[in-house]
Amino acid sequence: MSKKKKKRKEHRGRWQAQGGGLEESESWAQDEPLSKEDGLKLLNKLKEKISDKEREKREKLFEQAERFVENAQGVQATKIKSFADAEDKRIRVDLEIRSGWAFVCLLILVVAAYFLLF
Amino acid sequence: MVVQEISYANFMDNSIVYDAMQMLWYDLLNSLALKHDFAYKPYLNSLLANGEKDRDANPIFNTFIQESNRAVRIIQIPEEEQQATHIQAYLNVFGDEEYDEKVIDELVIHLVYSETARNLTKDWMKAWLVDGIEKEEMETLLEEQSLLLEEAA
Repeated sequence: MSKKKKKRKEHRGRWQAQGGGLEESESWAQDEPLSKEDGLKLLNKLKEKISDKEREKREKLFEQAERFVENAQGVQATKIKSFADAEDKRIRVDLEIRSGWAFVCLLILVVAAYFLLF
Repeated sequence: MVVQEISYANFMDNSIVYDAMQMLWYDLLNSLALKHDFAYKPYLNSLLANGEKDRDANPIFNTFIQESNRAVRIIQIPEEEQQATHIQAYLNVFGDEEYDEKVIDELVIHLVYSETARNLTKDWMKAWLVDGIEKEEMETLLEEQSLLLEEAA
């Protein structure tokens, strides 16, 4: 029997740390776009989830991913960004934005919510 | 008439060269699609939030074949960041079974542009999209050919 899908949310995606036998992820699925702040929080959560050894291997990759979020001016699905090790590309941190928007500024979200509500 | 050959080395610094580079990958796909009669479409958004084209080469190319539920994504690395013969590939699953109706099986290729990388990419695309070889077999093929290339380098 197929697994029951969770109720679909408009804004979905995930961070993944993969390669060399590792497969860990942190997902989001919510009604409002993911803010930069929450995107970075999820990335940090993923960083803390993996072993010291795996984290060390991906130190630069996590930095690149953080920089990507910090520089983003909102990113619309569908997007994949792979931050991969220079020697072994299978060792990587992947970003998947599967639906909606991610890394929007909190201020824009507040303004948008204000106009929607009033 | 003098035909000047394009140098793709500065594809990240020049949007015209970037677009020509990207066109080369789509030409390669087109030649396969015409020969083997299959339809394809992109599955990733290639624009930035401000409507401009996303030219970070991560990826520079993406395509999806609905019938087989298979995709190819190419990430191109500037020459100065990696040795010139570099090409590596792996299989990936895009999507989360917990939330999505469908997940996509992707062939992901990281490369520095060269004739060797271009020919190998064409072979891999054919094996994955046209021949439809099984995942396990594809992984073995990628590993073996990457090793051969490393040894040759």
